[in-house]
Amino acid sequence: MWNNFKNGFIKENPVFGLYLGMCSTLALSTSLNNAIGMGLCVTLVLICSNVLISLIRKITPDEVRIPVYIVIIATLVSIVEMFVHAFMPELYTSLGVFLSLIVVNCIILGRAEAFASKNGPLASAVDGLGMGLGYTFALTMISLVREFLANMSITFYNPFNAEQILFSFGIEALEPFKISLFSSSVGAFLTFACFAALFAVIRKHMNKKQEAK
Amino acid sequence: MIKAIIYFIILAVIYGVLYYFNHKTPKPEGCENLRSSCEGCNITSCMAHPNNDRLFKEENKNA
Amino acid sequence: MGEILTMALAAVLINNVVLSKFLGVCPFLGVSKNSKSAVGMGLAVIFVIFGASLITYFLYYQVLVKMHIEYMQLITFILVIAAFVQFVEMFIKKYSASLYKNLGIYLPLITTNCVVLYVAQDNITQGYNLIETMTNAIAVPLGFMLVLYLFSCIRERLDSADTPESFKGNPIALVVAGLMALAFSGLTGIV
Repeated sequence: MWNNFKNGFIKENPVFGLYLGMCSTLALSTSLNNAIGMGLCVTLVLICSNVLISLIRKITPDEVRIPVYIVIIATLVSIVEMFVHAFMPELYTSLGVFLSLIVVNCIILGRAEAFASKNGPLASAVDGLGMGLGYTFALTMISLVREFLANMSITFYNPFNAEQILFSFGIEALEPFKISLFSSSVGAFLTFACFAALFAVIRKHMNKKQEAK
Repeated sequence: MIKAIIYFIILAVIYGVLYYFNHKTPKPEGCENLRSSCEGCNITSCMAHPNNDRLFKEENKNA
Repeated sequence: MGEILTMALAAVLINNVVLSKFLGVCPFLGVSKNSKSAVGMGLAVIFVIFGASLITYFLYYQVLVKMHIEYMQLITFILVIAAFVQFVEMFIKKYSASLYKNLGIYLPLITTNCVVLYVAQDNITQGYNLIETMTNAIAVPLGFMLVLYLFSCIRERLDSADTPESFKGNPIALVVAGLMALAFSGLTGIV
């Protein structure tokens, strides 16, 4: 079970390894707040959907499996969306349409089909947590690079109260060297490509090590 | 609230029935083994996914 | 008429779904290996988005608003899209084998294509009327198809290019997508 959890980060990272959920990764990696907010929303939905689907896996008729999954996921996403709208209005505006697009995020349906429909609720919950955090991790990495290069500073505010800044880091001397390109879509694609290549190298290295053992 | 639930059930049933009938409808001649070569993402439920079967077997082995 | 044309042009070239809104990147990378499948996928997406947009538009204003259950929007939309795709697939299977041969394999992919859900939601949040909805429902997937086709043409040549080992496959494709986004951002001024 621990291995399942660990796999979600590097070897089977849902974003860099499996290329799942790329749309939201590219779009929401502009700032650290968006990245962490979105990552946690996805993790929450993923854990809940995995547990629910795992619980009903024995009573779901095989023919209508996919419709059942979609109904469950859509319901969960609606709940999360309303929750974020009510308590974190700032985050809700900056995530925008991508919050409701969690429904069609490949990670969730993919895990439901590949893991939760065959394993018990506890294992599915752990798998959901691992995959969700792997997604959050990927999103955070990209957003750190992009936010720093675009502003030469990184800020993180309290999602429940946008005026309260929790964490801020910046190098003033670098201020004139901002690359605003990285906040646009071009930067998103390029940063993502470099990270994907980096992870490919790491994975290859890890596989070699394993073979050597 | 009740209206919403009834409405929801109607929609879900319509989808379920359409899904069921669609999968019962046989594919036309010559199209039984059509596959697009999609390698973009890993939606394992997706019929176009080439590694569909392989991934399933691996998951089962681990479990 | 002029406004509609401007709106369509902006949706195709400037606010392109793939390059500036990052929607539909999965099929963008997956189905763009050759130009024939890019066109097939594009046509299927145009058709499904147009139909699904019209249905969700009427359902939202005639049913959800009148029954005061607007909070069911997301569930309604995803179910309508999924059901519509099933219906279309069944219909083509029964009545047109040749159409199924060309488009059939892409249809199951479309349920989880975020562009469809995005257009349906966008029509409501922007408060479009029926004509604007119809324009949006054609222009947005047209932009998707255009980029998918261009990208597939580049990719056919990319296979023979000498790329660094770790960039092979999807990473280099993403770099190309980034360069395309740069090129498209140069069109910003035309509307």
